[in-house]
Amino acid sequence: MSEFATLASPYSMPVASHGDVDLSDSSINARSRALNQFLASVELKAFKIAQTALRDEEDALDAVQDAMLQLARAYANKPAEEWKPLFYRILENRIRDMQRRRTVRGRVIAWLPFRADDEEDELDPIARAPSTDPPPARRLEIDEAMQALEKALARLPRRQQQVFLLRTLEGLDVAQTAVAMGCSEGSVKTHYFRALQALRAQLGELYT
Amino acid sequence: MSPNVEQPLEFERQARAVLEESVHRVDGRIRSRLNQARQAAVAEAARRRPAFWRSFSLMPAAGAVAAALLVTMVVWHRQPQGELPVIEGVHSTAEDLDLLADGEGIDLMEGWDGSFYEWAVEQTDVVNGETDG
Repeated sequence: MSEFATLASPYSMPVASHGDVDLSDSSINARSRALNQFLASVELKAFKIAQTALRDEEDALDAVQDAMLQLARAYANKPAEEWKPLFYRILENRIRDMQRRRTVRGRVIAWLPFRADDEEDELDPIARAPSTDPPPARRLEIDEAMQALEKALARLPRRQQQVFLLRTLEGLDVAQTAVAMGCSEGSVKTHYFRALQALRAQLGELYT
Repeated sequence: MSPNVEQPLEFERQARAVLEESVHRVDGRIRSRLNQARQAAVAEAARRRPAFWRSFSLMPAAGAVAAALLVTMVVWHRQPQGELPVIEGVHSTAEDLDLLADGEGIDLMEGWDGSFYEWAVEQTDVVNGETDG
């Protein structure tokens, strides 16, 4: 993100207010590159966070895509250092909306005489191929730890799950996490502490 | 969080390692979809021009709106508000209008004979003089 500061035109006028960074035509490409770089740095983790919350790949992809577009539309002119908490704030709102919609849809479908068939997964062995292949023993160990962690995370209250993933996976600090979650820093600390306690209680044997 | 600083740190380290590994394993299809979404977002941001330049592009529309408001204000203030103001000298004109609107008055005016009325007035004066005398 600091790249943008160095690439921005020195002749651009600071006209915009409210923290917006105004751009001349010559610096738009630099901002696009910075945005691309930022989104590339968060997209996989964001997907993982959304997938953990929504437990569905397609929904997680939709949520991340919407968050990317919303950030680009509304906050691309904000200073780049503000993007990360804003992006995760948008993503969390999107996840919450989808969870609510899913709840309503589930109630409606439960009353219908037919059930929608599950969409067939497009089985593309090349596309679905994992990006790396660790040794089988190590892979098995990681698989076991991963499944245990995902199950434990799924059992956490939403806010604790959210704060744990933002702090541990994404590496947001307390202040950034508070912005992303729309709560106070004190709440972040409290949720995080409780999440750690709950996860350690469930995963203690595996992780110590 | 202070009582168990060491254990959470170790726990966090291991949890982070597992989570990062799970991120690393995201398959090619998901990566491709995310890449497409990212490109679309970047294109969207580039398509939307910054506020400074966008303000210039909106100036014609803003000018048209301002002009329309100005015309509206002018027309509004030129319209009579409530009762018409009373102006000196208009009183007699209004009475004349009432007379003209009266059909009987117009009938009299149509048969106007100036010499007859002058004679009638003289006769009246004469009669009055004889009566007084």
